[in-house]
Amino acid sequence: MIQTQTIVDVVDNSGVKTLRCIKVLGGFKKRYGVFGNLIRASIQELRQKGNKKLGLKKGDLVFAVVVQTRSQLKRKDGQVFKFFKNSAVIVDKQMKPLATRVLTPLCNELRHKKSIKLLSLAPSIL
Amino acid sequence: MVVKTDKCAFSEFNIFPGHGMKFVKRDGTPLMVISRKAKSLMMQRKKPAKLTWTQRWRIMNKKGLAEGGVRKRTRRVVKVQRAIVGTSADDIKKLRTQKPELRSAQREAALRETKERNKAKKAEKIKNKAVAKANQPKVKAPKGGNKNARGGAKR
Repeated sequence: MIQTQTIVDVVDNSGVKTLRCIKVLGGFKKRYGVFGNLIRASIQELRQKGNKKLGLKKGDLVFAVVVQTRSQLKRKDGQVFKFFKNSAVIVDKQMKPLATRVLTPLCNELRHKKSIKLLSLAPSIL
Repeated sequence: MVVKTDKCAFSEFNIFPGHGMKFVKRDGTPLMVISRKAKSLMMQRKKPAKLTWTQRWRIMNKKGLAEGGVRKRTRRVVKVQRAIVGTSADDIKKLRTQKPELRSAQREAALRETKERNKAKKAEKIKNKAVAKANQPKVKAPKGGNKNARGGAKR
């Protein structure tokens, strides 16, 4: 569950370390973001080796897709699924990733939410 | 249909579909846990080898696998004599049971016979050759170089 003011890790090579969620997109008065939701976020921290091509700075506003959450996810077969951190990947408005790499394995739920490009970048799918 | 099962990361029990929880570590390795008990112990970083109910402990202490000391039996190969081309199985058996002295005597007799036969053959051959030489007229081989020579540098 990701809501406004949640700090989210970034798991790609865009050069950004953390984001702060400002708004969960998709729906009227939507409170919590889950896997595959688009969020609006501001950049909090950068990595030391930043991606100069993208030129993202601290305080910039970006879109991001939620990729891992600490809260449980329940699959249709009854399996419960959990990560140890909240993380996201920076994208543009059309859900296209800005960076060229995704660093963590992603879960299969993203497939239904129009982010197949992300899945193809992931090292493995859970 | 084969039901796909997972193994618990802590207790190593089989997990059937619809049961258990999956945790994904920070480095991305998924851990499947069968129950809350296993989960809590795993989070406390207990060692499964020290708890008697886990599969790890049972394997380490050799429980439940081979009790009663049943030894493995090795299979012995039993040889069966079969008939080979001309000789029947009974004949081969008879040959097998013969005494070695008798066999050696037989072999010697056979050797002697063959030797004598060879001697006779040789003598006949020599005779034939002598007769043939006497009859043939002497013809010299025609002179001339090698017809197949390719005409290299002459020396």
